[in-house]
Amino acid sequence: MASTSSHPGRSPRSARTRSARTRMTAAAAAALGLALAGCSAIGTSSASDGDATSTSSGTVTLVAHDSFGLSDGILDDFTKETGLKVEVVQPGDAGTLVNQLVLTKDAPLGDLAYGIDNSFASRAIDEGVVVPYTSSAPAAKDAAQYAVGGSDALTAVDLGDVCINTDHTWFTEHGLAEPSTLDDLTKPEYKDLLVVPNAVTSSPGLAFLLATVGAFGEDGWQDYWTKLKANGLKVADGWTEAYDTDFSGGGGNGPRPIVLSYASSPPFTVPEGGTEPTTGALLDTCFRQVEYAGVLAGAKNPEGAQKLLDFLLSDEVQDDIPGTMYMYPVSSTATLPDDWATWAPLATKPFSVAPDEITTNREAWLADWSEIVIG
Amino acid sequence: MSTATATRPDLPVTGGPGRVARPSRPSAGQVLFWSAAVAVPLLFLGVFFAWPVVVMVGRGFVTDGHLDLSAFAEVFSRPRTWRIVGLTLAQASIATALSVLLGLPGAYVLHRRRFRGRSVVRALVTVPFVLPTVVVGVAFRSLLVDGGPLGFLHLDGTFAAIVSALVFFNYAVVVRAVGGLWERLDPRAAQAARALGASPWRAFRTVTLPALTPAIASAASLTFLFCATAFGTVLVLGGLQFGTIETEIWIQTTQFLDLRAAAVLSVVQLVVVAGVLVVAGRARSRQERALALGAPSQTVRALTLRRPAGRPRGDGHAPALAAAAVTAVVVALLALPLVNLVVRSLRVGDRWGLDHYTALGTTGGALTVTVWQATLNSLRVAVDATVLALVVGGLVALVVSRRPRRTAGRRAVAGLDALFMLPLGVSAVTVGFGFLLSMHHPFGLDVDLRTSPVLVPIAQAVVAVPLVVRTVLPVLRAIDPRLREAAATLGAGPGRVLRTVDLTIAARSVGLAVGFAFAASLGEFGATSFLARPDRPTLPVVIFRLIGRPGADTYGMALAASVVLAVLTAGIVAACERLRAAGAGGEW
Amino acid sequence: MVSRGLDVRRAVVRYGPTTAVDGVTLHVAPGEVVALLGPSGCGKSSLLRAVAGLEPLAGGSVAFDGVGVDRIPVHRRGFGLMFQDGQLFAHRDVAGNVAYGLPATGVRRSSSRRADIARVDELLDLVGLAGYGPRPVATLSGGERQRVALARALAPTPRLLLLDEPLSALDRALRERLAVDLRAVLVATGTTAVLVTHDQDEAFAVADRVAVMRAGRLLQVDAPADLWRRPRSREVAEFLGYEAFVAASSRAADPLTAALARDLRDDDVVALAEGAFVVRTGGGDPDAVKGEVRGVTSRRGRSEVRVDVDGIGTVTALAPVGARFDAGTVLPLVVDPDALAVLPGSDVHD
Repeated sequence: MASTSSHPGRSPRSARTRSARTRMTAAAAAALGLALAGCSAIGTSSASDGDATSTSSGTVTLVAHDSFGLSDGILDDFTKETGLKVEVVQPGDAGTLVNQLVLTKDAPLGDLAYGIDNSFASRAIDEGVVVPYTSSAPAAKDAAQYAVGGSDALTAVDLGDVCINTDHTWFTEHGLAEPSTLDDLTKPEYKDLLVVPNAVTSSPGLAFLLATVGAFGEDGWQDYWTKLKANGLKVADGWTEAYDTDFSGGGGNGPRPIVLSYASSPPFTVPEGGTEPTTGALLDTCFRQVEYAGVLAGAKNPEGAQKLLDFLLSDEVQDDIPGTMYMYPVSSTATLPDDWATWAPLATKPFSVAPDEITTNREAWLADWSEIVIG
Repeated sequence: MSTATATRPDLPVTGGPGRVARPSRPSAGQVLFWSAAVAVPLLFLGVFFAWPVVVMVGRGFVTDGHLDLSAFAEVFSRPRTWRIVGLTLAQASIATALSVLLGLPGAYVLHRRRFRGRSVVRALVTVPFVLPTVVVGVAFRSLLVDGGPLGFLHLDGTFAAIVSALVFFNYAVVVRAVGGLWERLDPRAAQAARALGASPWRAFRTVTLPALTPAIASAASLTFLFCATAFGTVLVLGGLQFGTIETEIWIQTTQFLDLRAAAVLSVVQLVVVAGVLVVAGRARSRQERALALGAPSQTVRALTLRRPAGRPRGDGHAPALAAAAVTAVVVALLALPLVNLVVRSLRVGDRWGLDHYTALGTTGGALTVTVWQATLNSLRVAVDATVLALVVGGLVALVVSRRPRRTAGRRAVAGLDALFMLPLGVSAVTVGFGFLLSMHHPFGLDVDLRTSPVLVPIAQAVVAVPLVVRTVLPVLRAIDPRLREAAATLGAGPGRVLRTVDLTIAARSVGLAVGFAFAASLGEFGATSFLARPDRPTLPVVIFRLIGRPGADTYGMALAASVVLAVLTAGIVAACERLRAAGAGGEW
Repeated sequence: MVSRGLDVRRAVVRYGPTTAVDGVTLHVAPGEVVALLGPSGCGKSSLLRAVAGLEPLAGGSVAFDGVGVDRIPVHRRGFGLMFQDGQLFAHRDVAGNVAYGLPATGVRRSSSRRADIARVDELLDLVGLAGYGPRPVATLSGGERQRVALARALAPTPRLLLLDEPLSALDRALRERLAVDLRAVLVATGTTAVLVTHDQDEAFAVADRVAVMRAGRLLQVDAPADLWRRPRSREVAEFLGYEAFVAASSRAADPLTAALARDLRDDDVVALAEGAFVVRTGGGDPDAVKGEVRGVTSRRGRSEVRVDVDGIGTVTALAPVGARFDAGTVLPLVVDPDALAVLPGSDVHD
């Protein structure tokens, strides 16, 4: 025991520490026990889930992308009206949603799908994920103008424009005139000022690629992107990174004053105590995204799904959409927030590409895009 | 004073005529127990990991009911595939090498030396490991972006940025795994070398380093697994330019629904991961060679800036200082993004304030629950995941800690060990999509597990099990078999031996295991994001949703919520650190 | 005048507030083997580590051949060190361990390597392990490990060899055999050595001189026989195993002084080791010392009887092989002067 002998002062202290540790272990065990008794997710949830499954006729399951959300109480109103309880399942983002629906079409995740956008709409219809249904809601007439390829399997619910946004403050400070068209972005004065999300990994990124396809044609967009790249284009992974990290007008005070975002983004940049947003959308650079809902093939409760789809087109939901999902309601009778009318109007002539054309070419376009832009 | 992990021939062996006859035939109860100990974890892993993965990968290889392996030829004929495999290996190897190089001085300073605030620093370095990648991405990129605090380095969007982020995540893995062993390593072996004329550097290189090799190998393999399957970090910091197998699986699956390519890539990933596990397993098994271990109280020395009076030059003080300096720089660099996060969460417009923290009590207009409710959800899910991981991981560790007499048995045990590491090395997308395909009425049961909240803690437990195993196993392996024999000679049945010896001693490491399982569950986002239901989102899911909305307020809220997650994690890790009994080190 | 060998002057070693070595002065001549003997916690290992350079001195100095080594780091002192549990390098084989301290380890020059190989063989031969070179150290027995550790420590021909409890981890029979071998090897190689041990038999068997240490100080440094015969204080005597102490002036001391056949001062104390009394088997002597039996034990066949002696207390007396006594029996005892020592009444009169 030679080495303990050389540290005579040690043993009492380590004994003390050990007893303290024992106490703490006991305390932790007790805490864990309490946590187990009271805080288990499985423990508290299984009972209610059991109910939900056994009375499936009384519930309708909505499969939505992860941006879906409505104000408190709205889905309760639906339950009051119809007696149907709504379960919401959000298995992924907008881009992932359709592929998940395609994969699970033999055993669908729910009854109604919401959030399929026009870049994926044809695939959903072609794969037979959704079944035809014609809504009788008043807003259905407004929705009809966005019908995909003559099919009534998908019903438009809301829409939005993906546009180039600019940071007014930055341009004022630098005494530079703001760009206004897609072509402006390739000019030398705007070198190193633009950031866009990746078209492969982000749905607004894909929308902007489609805008350029719409603007320059199936054979012209490649040249445009080559010029953009030569002009110092920055590609961020997603909208969040582009807007919050690289964009000078977003949350992160980044270095670039031009970003790809939404027509509805500017109202969110009204500074505290101010009246005007510090950013604006370039309405000649937009691609229109339309989000659809559709009754899933093989739904357990197709009638419930139809009722819920009608409800999504009701004024109550349509009025709520701008505030919670930052999209424009498809209904012409819905009311928009005041600042939207002023600061976030829709583009009058957005670029567009036919959904079936998108479905046919998307992978090839993305491959080309990657080749040109990422290299 | 010192214990050995293997038999020490210089101690009298309990044996001979007085020895209690080895039970020649195990009782029915024993057979039942050990069968269950093997079967329960295997069943768990099989149902909640292997089956979903097989179903998902199978989709890619079966066309019209026939096995079709032409996808291999097709995928491997693409130059892109080879580039991606190369990038994956390059990123993971470089990041692993750097993590080890920086982690070794860190392990020495944080585990072999004593100084004020050491436990705080130890908790701090663990925080990055569990932060959601989306948060780290924002915190990291806003530092590196042009005009950011580190913008002058022009690292944004470079390979170097990805590698440094991977090191940021995995530094703690090396520090903890190596430090856990180092603090118990008997310093006298190195002293013997010094007395034989070896300089401090030579003694380290030829004596200490070989003794640490198993722990280094173990840490490196874990780090490699984490790096090779890094997904969010790579996309956020490097984009597709530096795509890896993992990001490619994600793109092929979620964006292109090219399941054939995804399946091939999953197999490639599995092969790479299995290769790493085999190499690591070999290196780890060398740990079973006798190592003289001491209690940390005897091996840990105080860290002083000045050379202690009476200690000559060239006696290892300078290298110790160098290690301290390297560690200080690394910790400062680790802290930068974290500090950045905190600072930015306190910025409200042009002023400072707690507004974003106050807003955590609201839904921020974008969520279905408040952030505090999501925090509570996270904690609840983490409790379930931790209990599951402890039970399953504990059983695995118990089984793997045995050394069967027959070679076949030993191989089976080693295989089981490697098997439970696999969840760390398989794409979360493959597992997540696999759940969607396989958890509908599993085994014909009338339950749709895909949309059940029960699946979330299970998915997290699958990831936490390897951490529990790596933490508990070394402690169980270090139990002197003579202790069990002594208990048996005192009349204890096999069950009681297990209870009074194995479990009692393993319980000392349970605090640590609980901490890691809990932290891993709190931070898990990959599989959870495919499963979390909107009425019960976890904290990382909520942060992800907040950050995906425009507006400075939701952005600030997201940062504040990230700080809450970081503090929660650090607190839990620090608490578990205190629970860790002397000598009950963990290797993970 | 340059003093040859090791010179420790007023060495002090502290651990925080605790003083482990408190002003020790010790000289070890070239070729001499000195044992530091003391109970656990007396500071002997700390002193050894300070000489090796593993612990910093808080005061005093260490010099070798007249040159101070305080500012020289461990590996340049040329002192070898051998630990209680050998501390063999598990990842090297036996030869690799022995060769570790040789100059050509890691050097590619084949001539030096050949010299190394020869040196390793020579040392393995010396410690009785010829042909063990390629064996993994894990396959060695405890005694073999210590032999390898000794060979390894001797290989670089250290000018001073420090041995920290080199035999304590071994069982007794092996320890006694190895102590003899260790002494033989040290003498054969002419190695100057300091040995730390708590085992008196080991110290006596291996060392030329023994330094008894207690509470950080040296109590006495002497050749084994002198130490045994003339412990300087009751403390030393007690540590050496003297179990009873009787004032020379007391009547109970009379048979002891008679056996010693010399005059004692009144304040001297007579110390009795085990076996100071031997059970008398022959005829009765009415004047013989009487002891009442308390219990009997056996050591190597010979009976040891715990007896109560009036005015002295309970002591251990030796009896012939196989002798059995019942408790309470009163036995006649004779005194063995070799198991007696006289402690001077006051340390000043030395």
